[in-house]
Amino acid sequence: MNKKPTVGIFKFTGCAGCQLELLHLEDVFLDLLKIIDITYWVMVKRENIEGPWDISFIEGGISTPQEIEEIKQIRKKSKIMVAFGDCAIAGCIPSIRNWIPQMESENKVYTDTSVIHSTKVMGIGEYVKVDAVLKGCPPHRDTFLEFIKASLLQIRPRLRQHPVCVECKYRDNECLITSKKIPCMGPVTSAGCGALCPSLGRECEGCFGPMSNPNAAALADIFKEIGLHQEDIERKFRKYAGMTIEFRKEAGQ
Amino acid sequence: MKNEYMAYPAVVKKILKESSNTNTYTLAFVNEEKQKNFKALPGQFMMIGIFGIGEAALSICKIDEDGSFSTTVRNVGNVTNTIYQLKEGDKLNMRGPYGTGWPLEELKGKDILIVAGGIGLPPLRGIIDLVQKNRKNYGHLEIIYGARTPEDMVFKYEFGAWRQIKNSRFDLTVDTVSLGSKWECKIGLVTSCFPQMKTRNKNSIALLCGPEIMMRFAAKCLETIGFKDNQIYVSLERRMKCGFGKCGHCQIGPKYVCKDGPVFSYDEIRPYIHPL
Amino acid sequence: MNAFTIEKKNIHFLFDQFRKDYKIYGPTKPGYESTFEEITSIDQLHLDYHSTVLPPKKIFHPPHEQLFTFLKEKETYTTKEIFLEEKTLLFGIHPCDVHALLKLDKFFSGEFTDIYYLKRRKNTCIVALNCVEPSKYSFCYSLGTGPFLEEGYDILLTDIGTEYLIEIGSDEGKKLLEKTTVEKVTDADFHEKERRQKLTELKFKKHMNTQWLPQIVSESLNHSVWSDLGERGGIAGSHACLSCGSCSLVCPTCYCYDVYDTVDITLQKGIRARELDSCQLLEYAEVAMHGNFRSDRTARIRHWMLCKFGAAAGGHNSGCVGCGRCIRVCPSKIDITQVARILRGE
Repeated sequence: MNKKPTVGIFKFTGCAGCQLELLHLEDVFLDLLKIIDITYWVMVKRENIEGPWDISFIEGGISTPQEIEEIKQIRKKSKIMVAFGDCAIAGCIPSIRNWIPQMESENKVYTDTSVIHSTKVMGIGEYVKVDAVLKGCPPHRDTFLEFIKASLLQIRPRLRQHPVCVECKYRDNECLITSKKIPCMGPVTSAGCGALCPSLGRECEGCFGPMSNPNAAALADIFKEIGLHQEDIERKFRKYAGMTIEFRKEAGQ
Repeated sequence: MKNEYMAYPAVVKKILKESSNTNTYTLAFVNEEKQKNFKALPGQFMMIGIFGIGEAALSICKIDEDGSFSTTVRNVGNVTNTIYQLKEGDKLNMRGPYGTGWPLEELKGKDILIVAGGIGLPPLRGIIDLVQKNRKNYGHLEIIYGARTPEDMVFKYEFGAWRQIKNSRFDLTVDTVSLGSKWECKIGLVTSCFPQMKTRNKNSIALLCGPEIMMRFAAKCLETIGFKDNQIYVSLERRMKCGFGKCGHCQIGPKYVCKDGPVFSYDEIRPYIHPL
Repeated sequence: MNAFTIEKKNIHFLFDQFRKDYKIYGPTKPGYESTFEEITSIDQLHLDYHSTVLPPKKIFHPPHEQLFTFLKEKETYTTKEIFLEEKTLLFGIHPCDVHALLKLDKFFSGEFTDIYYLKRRKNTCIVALNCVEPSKYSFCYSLGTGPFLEEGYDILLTDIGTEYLIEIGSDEGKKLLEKTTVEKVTDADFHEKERRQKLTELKFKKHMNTQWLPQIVSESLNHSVWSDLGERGGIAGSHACLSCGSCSLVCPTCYCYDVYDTVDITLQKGIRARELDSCQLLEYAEVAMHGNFRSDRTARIRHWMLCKFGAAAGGHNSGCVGCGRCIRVCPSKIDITQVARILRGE
């Protein structure tokens, strides 16, 4: 086999949960280190090397001018750049503040806003070329493994783009929308979680972002019919992926 | 009961470079018994794969006398990319042959028109070989082959021999020619070769393989000069996972491309080729 | 003797007998929310169910299935097939689902056979239960697949009041009952069955006229109903299709699957597996170089309906049996019987 690929893991605007998910790989972590060389991971390593990297995994969105500069520098030193998790893909939960004026959100948190110079929260794809995305908030650790294995085999990873409904059916779950009129985001949300929430009787929150070719308008109509107000529907579509083209209209433009 | 899903070890006997991203591979089963019993027809396909990567449906382009066969592979997906990295003597796994193949009985004594686009020529090569070997069994042979650029053309090393086939015509066209490269044939779609075409609709069969849009327009042009739908055969591409009509992916209307095709008479598939 | 009766309270006699030789699957909840699960005690069995989420195909053609393992050593692969050949018994399966299995049996046999499905199916005993309270979504009567069963069972139960009428459909069924305490049957019991059948046939809320339907749908490829379902706001009473794939995954005759390989972290060994797929998903018809033969939602929903009306490549073997699961599961409330009516111009 060729030399082990070098891997960098970076955090931008996000909660570090995606990186934490990687630490949940406990049972295969030592095996993983036999096939990749993690040269940069501030959360875990004392000594980090400033690139270049064969693969860089980016957690978090971009929300300051400094971050724009940093992500561009990492891109320069990376062969493959992966948006790792929803924040890096389209801003995710931090991007909820994009829907109100910047001044308003700053005043909610800080007494002196003169030192704050944030931009709207965007996925890294706003500023740099992204070679692959691993969806989820956080992505499932298996998708990370799948991606690593596929990179070593030089093939496209098998990452599911279909809706949560598919995984729900695999698990023989009753549909929450049709049986209990619960506003579930499953029909427009990308699978990969194994229908975690619906299997426990809770609606899908949409944390893997839009599936391939979702019909968001139809689901918004269904939500309206089961009694949701327009604002509630918008909040649902805004929560994890409001900035994506797939959900932007239903999130309130 | 046979396990149809099981793929068997095969060896790459020879690799021929066709273009910057296309090679032709000569393959044979490792098991001698299996290889001895292997029989395939032009137009059929094999499920060829590598464990850990997956399988792809690849058409048989040439059948050798010792029973090994060749397939032309363009590096476009997971499996083809992995095959592309192989060297002579390397192993892969395969099963087949599957599908119907070209209507060989129907062709006897008739004029044959072959219209191929890009990587659509390999499935038709078996027919050219057949006519070449049994020249007196067939009428006039006309080959119209189009590709994106001259470099993208496959089997260039055979063109000379094909031009020598008695009672035949061979016409080439490309979409574009890069600056400085030598090109003496046409520039344009395959249908731009049709005005000079010698084949007429009487006692003739047209065999089409290439992008679906090319086949549709070629068929349309043939109809204007009097070809009936049942004189036109097309070979289709679809996503295939099993190769024998169970996984469902290759459905086109009421047909499985893998089992009922990939070669179809145009009259049976025409209603579905566009809308479905 | 080919028929008996058993008092409902004694149904565990049958259960105990079956358990000696078989792993038993049956409906586990009343009403609509039931699923077919392994049953180890009679209390878990709910014969008063309307329908299950997944049909019994989940036992023979499961959502995930391993086909074989492979191991790479010194550039050669060794493979090992994985077959599950457990003896299973389906207890309380409805006529529509029995008909669906008969269709799948035909589908997976023929010129090419699916060894995985057929091996499991061969070791199965079917104890069917006629429907006396059909689900409000079902229309099996229109398709001749219910509510009462004529074929495909080893043992058939009919609720005739305080007792079940037991009819035997095979030697296997006969053997199973030889050792069980069952009572004799009278003409009155058969009359009661007949009476209940007629009564049940009047209870259906949904109907589908299938006469010429495959031909009609084949000629209606450009009908506006498809774009109404796929892109516009749906048809009267429904929303537009979500392409969520639920309809096909719960369909007892939908057979489509994807085949894929997974390797472990050493990259040297792995599994070739299959997973239920759905023609409603964008990736289903995708080919290399980003080609997709059914990229429009309209084309996808049309293909599924065509298949259920018997006009796709599966023909009659993947056609509808009227169980009503797709109607119940559809978040957009798309009703196949209504689509059929629109196509017929009714």
